[in-house]
Amino acid sequence: MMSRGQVYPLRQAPPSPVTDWSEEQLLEAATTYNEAALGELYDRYEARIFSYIYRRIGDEPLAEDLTAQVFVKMLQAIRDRRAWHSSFSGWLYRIAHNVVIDQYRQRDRHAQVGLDETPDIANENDNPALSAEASLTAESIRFAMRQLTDEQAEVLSLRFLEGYSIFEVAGLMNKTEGAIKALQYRAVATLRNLLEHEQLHL
Amino acid sequence: MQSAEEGFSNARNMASRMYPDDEQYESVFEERMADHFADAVARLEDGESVDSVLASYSAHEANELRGMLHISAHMAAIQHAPLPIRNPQRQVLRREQFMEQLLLERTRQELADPHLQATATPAGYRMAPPARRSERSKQAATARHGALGWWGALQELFTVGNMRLAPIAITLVLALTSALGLWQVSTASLPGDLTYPIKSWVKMMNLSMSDPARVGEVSAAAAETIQADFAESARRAAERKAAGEALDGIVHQESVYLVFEGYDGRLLKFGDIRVVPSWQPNVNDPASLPMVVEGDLQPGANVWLTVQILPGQADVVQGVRAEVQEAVTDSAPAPTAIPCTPRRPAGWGNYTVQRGDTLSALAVRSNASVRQIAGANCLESDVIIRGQLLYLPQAGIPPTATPTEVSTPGPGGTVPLP
Repeated sequence: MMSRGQVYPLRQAPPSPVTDWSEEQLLEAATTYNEAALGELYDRYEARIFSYIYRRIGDEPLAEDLTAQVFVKMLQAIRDRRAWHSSFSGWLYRIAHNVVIDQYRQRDRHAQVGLDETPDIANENDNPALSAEASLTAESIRFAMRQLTDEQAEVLSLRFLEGYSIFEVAGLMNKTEGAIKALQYRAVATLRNLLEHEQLHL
Repeated sequence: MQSAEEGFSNARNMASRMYPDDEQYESVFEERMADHFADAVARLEDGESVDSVLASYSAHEANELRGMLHISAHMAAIQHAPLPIRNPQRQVLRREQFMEQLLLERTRQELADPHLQATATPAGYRMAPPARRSERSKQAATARHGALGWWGALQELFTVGNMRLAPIAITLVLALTSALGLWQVSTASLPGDLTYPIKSWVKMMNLSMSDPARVGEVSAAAAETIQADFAESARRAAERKAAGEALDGIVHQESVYLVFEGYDGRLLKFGDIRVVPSWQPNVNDPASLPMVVEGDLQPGANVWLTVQILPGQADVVQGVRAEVQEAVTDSAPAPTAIPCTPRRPAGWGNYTVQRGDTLSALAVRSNASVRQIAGANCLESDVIIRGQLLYLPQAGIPPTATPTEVSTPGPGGTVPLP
C-alpha cells in the first residue's frame, strides 16, 4: 500500500521543481496562494518590473519601493482570473504603470500643498551612464510623458523603454497591432510637439 | 523653409481638396503616417541611417518623421543605459517581505472565504504541478485539490497547513483500517513518507498529554527517535546521491514537533539534533535564506520545526521555519545549558566555515585556542559545518580583496595576534 522511503505519492507523475512549471501551471497554483508558485512568479518578473519602473521614473530607491508595491497589489488581486487571463505580464505592467501614475499624482498634490521635502521625480535622475545632455533629455521625456494619456504612455514605455516589438506590445495590452501603431504614432507626435515647445535641441 | 507643422497642415489641406470627406481622410492619412513611422523605426533598428530612411518619404512626411525618430532614439537611449546595480541582500529581504505579504493575504482571504485552502506543503519546492482545468472539472468532490483525486485529498489532510483536521482524519482512518496496521506503518515511516506526519502528531500528543515533570524525558525520547529518523533518511538520501540521482530530487523538507533546548553557537539545539538557522532554496546554489522564526523562541518552547535534510548529514539539518507552539511555562524542562550570546572580541572578524574546516585547524591558523574560539562563539561541541558563521581572530581569516586588512601566514608558519 504505502511504500517506505518514497518521497512522492502514488498515482502521480514524479513532481518537478517549480522552476520548470509553465506560467499557466504557476498561475493556477497561485490562485490558491501557493507559496512556491507565487515565489517563482516573483522571481521571474521582479527584475522586469523594476526596470520598467526605473526607466519611467529614473529614481532607484523609489523604483524599488514601487516594485514592491506592484507585487503586493498582485497578491491582492491574483484570485480574480479575469484580471490577468489574457496576459499575466501585461497585467503586471499595467499595475506598474498605475503605480507610477499614482506616485506622480501624489507628488503633484504635495507640490500644490507646498511640501518642499518631497523630491521632484523629474529632477532626480542620477544615472551616470547618460551624458549630462542625454540626462536632460531623458528627464524631459519622462516629464513630457506625464502629459500623455494612460494608453499612450504605456505603449511608449513598453515599446521604446522596454524594447518590446509591436506584436508583443499588442499581446501585453490586448490590442491589435494597428491600434498599437496608431497609439505610438500619436504619442510620439505629441511628445515631439511638447518638447519642441520647450525649445529643446534634439 | 516650412516648419514641420506647416508642412503637415499644408499636406492635409492639399489632400482635403482631393478628398472631400474630412473625417475619413484624416484617419487614412494618420493611418498611413502611423505605418510610415512604424516602418521607419523598424528600419532604424535594423541599422539603417536616419538620412537613408527619411529619403524614402516625401519632404513633409520626412519632416514630420524626423522629429519623431529623434524622440524614439532618445527613448531607446534610456532603454540601453545600464540599470542600477541592486543590493543583493536587500533583494533577499524584499523577497522575504513578499512571502510574508503572501501569508498575510492568504490568511485574510481564508478568513473571508473558508473554502479557500492552501494546497500542498508551504515549503513544497517539489510537488506535482496542478492539472489543467478540464481535468479538474471531472473531480467535483475534490475540486479544490485539483485533479489529485481522493488519494490526493487524503494526502492533503496530512499536510502542515491542515493539521487541525488531522485528529479527525486520523480517528476516522484508524476506525476504518486496522488500527494496528496503520500504527505500525506510521511507526515505520520516515520523513518524506505519507504517514510521517502521523508519527509526528502522535509524538506531539504524547508530549502535550504527558506529566509536565516528565516532559523533559518525553522530549528527549522524541528527539532521539526523530534524530534516528533523520539519520536514516539522510543515509538513504546519500545512497541515492551516490547512485547518481540529482540533488534536488533527493533533498526534501519535513516538519516535526520538538522542544527547543537552546543554542550551540549559532546552531539551534533540539536534543542531539543541530539546526542551522538558514537553508538553501536551491541545493545547487550556495545562496541561502534565513530561517523564519515565529513566536518567542525560548529554551523549553515546543516548536513545530520545518527542516531540510541533506544527504549524509544526520546530525545537522537546515532550518526553514520554526513556529513556537505554546508559551513556555514554569514546568518546562530546564535546558541543558543557559543560552550564551556569541560576542565578537575586539580585533576578531567574521569567518564563514569552508568545506573541510575543523575547529582545531582554525584554532591553529588563528593562533588561538579551541576554548577561546568556542567561548566567543558559544560553541558547545567542536562540530562546525560549512556555511556556519564564526568569529575568528583576524589572523585566522584568509585575505580577501583588501590585502591591507590581514597578513597571511607563510607556509607552515603562524602569525602572532596583534
